[in-house]
Amino acid sequence: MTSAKPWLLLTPGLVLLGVFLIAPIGDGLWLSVHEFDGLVVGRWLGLAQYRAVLIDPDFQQALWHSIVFAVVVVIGKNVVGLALALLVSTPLRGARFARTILFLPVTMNIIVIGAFWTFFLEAERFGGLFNHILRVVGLGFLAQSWLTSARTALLSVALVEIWRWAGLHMLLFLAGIQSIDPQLYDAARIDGAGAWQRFWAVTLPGLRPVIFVSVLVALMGAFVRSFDVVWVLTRGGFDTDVVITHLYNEAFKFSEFGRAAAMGYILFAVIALIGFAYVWAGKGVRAGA
Amino acid sequence: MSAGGTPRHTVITRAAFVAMTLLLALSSAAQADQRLVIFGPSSWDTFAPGAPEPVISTVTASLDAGFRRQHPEVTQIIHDSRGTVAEGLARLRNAQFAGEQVDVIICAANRVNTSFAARGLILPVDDLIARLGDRFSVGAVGNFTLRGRVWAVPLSAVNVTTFFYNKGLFQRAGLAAPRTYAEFLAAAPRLRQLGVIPVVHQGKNAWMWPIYYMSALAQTTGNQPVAETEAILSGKARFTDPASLQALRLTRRWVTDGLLDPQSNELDEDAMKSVFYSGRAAAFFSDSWDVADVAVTAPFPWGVFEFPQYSGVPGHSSAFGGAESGLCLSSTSRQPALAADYIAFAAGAAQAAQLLAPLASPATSHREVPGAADPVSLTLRSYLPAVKFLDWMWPLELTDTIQRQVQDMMGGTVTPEQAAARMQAKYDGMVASGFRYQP
Amino acid sequence: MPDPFASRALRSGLTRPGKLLLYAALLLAMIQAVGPVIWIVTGSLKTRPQFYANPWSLPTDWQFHNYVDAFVTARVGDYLGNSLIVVSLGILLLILTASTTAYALARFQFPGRSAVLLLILATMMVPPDILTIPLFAILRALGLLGTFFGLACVYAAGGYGMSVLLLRSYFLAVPVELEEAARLEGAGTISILRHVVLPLALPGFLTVVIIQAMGMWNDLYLAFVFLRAADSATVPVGLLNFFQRSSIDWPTLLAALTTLTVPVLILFTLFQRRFVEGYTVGAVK
Repeated sequence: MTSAKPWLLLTPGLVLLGVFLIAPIGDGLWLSVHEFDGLVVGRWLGLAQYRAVLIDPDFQQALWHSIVFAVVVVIGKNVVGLALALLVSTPLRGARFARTILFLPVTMNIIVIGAFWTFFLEAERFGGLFNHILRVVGLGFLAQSWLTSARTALLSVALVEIWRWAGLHMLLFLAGIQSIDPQLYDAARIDGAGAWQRFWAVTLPGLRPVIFVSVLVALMGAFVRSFDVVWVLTRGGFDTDVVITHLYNEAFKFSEFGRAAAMGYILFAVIALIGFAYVWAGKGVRAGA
Repeated sequence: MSAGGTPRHTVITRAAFVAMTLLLALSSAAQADQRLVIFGPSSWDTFAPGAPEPVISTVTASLDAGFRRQHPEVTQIIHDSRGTVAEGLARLRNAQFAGEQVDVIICAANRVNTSFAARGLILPVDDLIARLGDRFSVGAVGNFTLRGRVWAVPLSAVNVTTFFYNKGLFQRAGLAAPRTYAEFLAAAPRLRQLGVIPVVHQGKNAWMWPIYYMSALAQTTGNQPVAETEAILSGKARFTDPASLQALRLTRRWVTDGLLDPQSNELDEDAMKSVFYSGRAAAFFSDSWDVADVAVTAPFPWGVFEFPQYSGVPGHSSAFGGAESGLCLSSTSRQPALAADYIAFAAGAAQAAQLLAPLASPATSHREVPGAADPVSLTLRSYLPAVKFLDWMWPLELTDTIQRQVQDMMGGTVTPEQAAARMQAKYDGMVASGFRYQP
Repeated sequence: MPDPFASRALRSGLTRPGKLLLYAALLLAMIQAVGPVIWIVTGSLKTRPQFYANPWSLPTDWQFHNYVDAFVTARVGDYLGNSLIVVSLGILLLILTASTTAYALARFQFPGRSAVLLLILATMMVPPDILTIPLFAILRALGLLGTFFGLACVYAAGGYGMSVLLLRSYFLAVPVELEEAARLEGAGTISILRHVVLPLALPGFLTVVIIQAMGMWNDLYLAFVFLRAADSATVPVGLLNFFQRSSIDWPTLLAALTTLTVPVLILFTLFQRRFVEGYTVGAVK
């Protein structure tokens, strides 16, 4: 392998990265230590801005919500995604067709998702179908305003987010399943392994690299790209304020871009900690690393 | 397989894309002749807001034609009012930051008071006000005055907070419009017997909750809500003081007494109105800017009544509101003199009458343009003079907290005491981080 | 074309009740996935009062004029065109940058490899919201503000990290021997990438493309900030116009959403069945 080749290959990517990601990140970092209202850069605040953000109880609550949300969503996306992938890999009639159908939520416009789930989870009195179904099957005592009461709102939003992305993780796992050598299954069957044992012995190990990436992607998405779903369902109210929505308000409602940037970088630090810990722990499973 | 070289079709495709981009860039280059841009941060910020689209187009076109007759050097007047109210500030700021041409801004009083002036997005217009003379209604100019300077020329309806109610349902329950809270409370069981929710609210829109708190505060402070707010913001009073706390408790009682639907937080404006129009709820508290919609859509006789009088409070019931929008001068305008002329023209005698006529509001910002004369408008006019909205004085972050706290309180997840404590904690935190109130 | 996994192995081991359970699960999964689509289609055929009376019922008389309204008053056709341009540009840029980077990281050992990987990982952890203002300034400096190309660059940059990670893992699964064989025949690296590796990693590659295209198509926030002219509005930004002024015209909005969602679904279905699935056995063999 010649030495210049890889860098040549990396050039387009690194240019994109440099101009549209690294540069803004650096600029944003600089802004996060200033007072900035979006137009005029104000005075230097230094780390005092970060300290002010960290001791703000509203921010602390948003951070807590972000973490809870991320844990639920990451586990949910991957478990459901894997289950769906297995389900549609079976020789059942219609399984192939199901693959397309199950991916639909990923393709849906967030406005559709927001509108549907808002109507679906409403109080029965105002047209909420889910509460209606609960009452009809005798579980009426569970009925409540899922998206507008502080106890259930965050979890409801998390469930919608899981619903939305499960299809994507299903596809990821599917592509991974399809690259597992079928001879390994034949060998296992010859050895007398049942379906469940084949799953543990062949499928799961074969999926390790994909699982690793899938969890990583889910983690990033849950922390960093969950703005749409929270915003459209609750606007960040009813105790669903996560760091992303909190940051958005800080920037666009209150014009405190410096503070918002600081919040973003604090979130980044949290994610980096979790992310790198995860990557370091999983070093052994990355094929070819 | 081809060794090396990119296939021709890819090269052509890439060239095509580059060409297309260049074309797009070129086509958006500014024109050389003189244009004026009238910017509306949201789609509500137009002339004659609330009127049907064709009416807005007509009055705007005739205004522009009149102005261009006076200023023949102006080749084009562009009106750009799009987007939601919530995105308005961001839209304006982004446009100015991007270096787009923004000359005149149709600005809401709320925004002028809370953000535009403080953030340097607009210029003071004291000289324009002087130029236009003494034609404005009482309090109109005051609505746009901050720290001694005027930041917009008023040109709008005067709107007030009010209850809307279904006259048909009230009649069937044998009731008249209530004047006091006690009356309303006594009437509630009869409404519920009809299977009707007495009062419903667009609880999902957190920004509409504080009007309940404000209306109560007016009464608990002996009609000094503005003074009380100034005291709180100067640190001389607190949200947890008796007057404010009682206002919160009285507001919460609407739900616990069975008047206000406990699941109001599920409803946005549209849903709330649909519940009202379908006769499932008998009344809602909002602002007179909704009159146009109710008049057109309500399939039953309807009316308005002022916020009821609580008992055991020093003050009497009062409405909040005033002249709510005007014309501002953008701080990034490269032709401020021309922009000022446009504002003066639009707010001048002849034009103002034309622009304000379609509004059919209880009153207008201009003395010489009277409000409508129908019974509803006359009732609404009787509420005047209205008190300035308190959220024009609260800093934005505090407003956000107050909205959320009242919303949560009415949803039952926090008590009035907790809500008051959190509002105060938020303000204390802001002060600790360096916020100073400038009256 | 039989799946290598879903072979006789599973079929023979499945009992009747087990099969029934799986069928039920499949059915339930499909219903909940397709629910919103059915909902917007039925809702789009109602009148406003009908919709509010019961959002879940089937429409009685079908109001097809809602669709005409959506296209004529709401100018949905224009938004479709704009979205198509932006997404196509964005995907092109993304493929160009992500596949070359992923290949370099997968197949080459060079100093700084881990550093590049970590850098890419790190950029994925930064919330895009705080980059808005700096990106604004950069696009303005480059003269790309308000252009489709500028937005496409931002989209490509946004999807770059995840695409590189995924593509890299799919490339790693391709047997090295095939590449070495091609190299012995004198093929250059780019050729190998395009003619050997990509075809074999096609299911994964197309998966990444589909996912990223969906994300770009549905992005509201970035398009709103960077493309402000009314004429340039992409689909999600255009839909915002429905949430204006007085009340939301739900049936017309749902008609617009249906016209925007359903063709995309159909396209995706065809795309997925023909390309992604067609390569399963071939890829592994």
